[in-house]
Amino acid sequence: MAEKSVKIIDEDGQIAISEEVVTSIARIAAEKVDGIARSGKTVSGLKSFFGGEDTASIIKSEFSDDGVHIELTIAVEYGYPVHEVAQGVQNNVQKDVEEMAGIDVIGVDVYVRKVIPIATEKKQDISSED
Amino acid sequence: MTKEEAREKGHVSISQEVVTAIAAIAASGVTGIFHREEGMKRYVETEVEGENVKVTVRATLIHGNSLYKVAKEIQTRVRTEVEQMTGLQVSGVNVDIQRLVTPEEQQLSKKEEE
Repeated sequence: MAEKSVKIIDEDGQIAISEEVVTSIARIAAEKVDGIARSGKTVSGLKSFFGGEDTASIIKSEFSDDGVHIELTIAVEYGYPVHEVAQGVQNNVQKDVEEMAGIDVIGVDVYVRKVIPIATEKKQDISSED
Repeated sequence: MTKEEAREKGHVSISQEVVTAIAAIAASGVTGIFHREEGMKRYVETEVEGENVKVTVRATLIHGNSLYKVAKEIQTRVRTEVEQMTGLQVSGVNVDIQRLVTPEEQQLSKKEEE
């Protein structure tokens, strides 16, 4: 039980939500934003090897007494305004985590680490589809 | 042997495995939970003490639903079905939400099963 979790206890028993689950919600929320470089989807996970470049977002969630703090390191596709993509990520992550997990989001920090040319992204998409 | 009732006709006993199976099937019937019936058993633990059962469900949920609502539904269903089908008292149902999958991942795993 080393893993951290948020617990809701009432007469029915206890409901616990782990940090990993909040991180998953954040990842899916971030990937919905236009312009974010998607990683090798969680299913295949191999795309980054083919591209030789890891475009996967690095996401950390940390629980505290007041809620959860989320940190995302992302890559943005070339051609999209970086600050708007980052703000989109902040909004989406906060909304999804609060709606789905019911946990207050204290802050969402977004670090844009890379810009990815769109063309290679698309090629990789096709090659991973078949 | 977890439940034994001395009755005039003899003993009735319900094994813990049966209680666990009922809890697992009840939980897996909730919309928004990932594992289906048989697979769910591995993620359910029951502790029986006398007439009381405590159930722990380690759940993988499907992205898109309110986790709290799904967890509540699991608690309600498990309690109702275990109590109705065994006559034991459920003292609590703990739901540990450990993992999330996307609806696409769920589709993929369904195909693999077929």
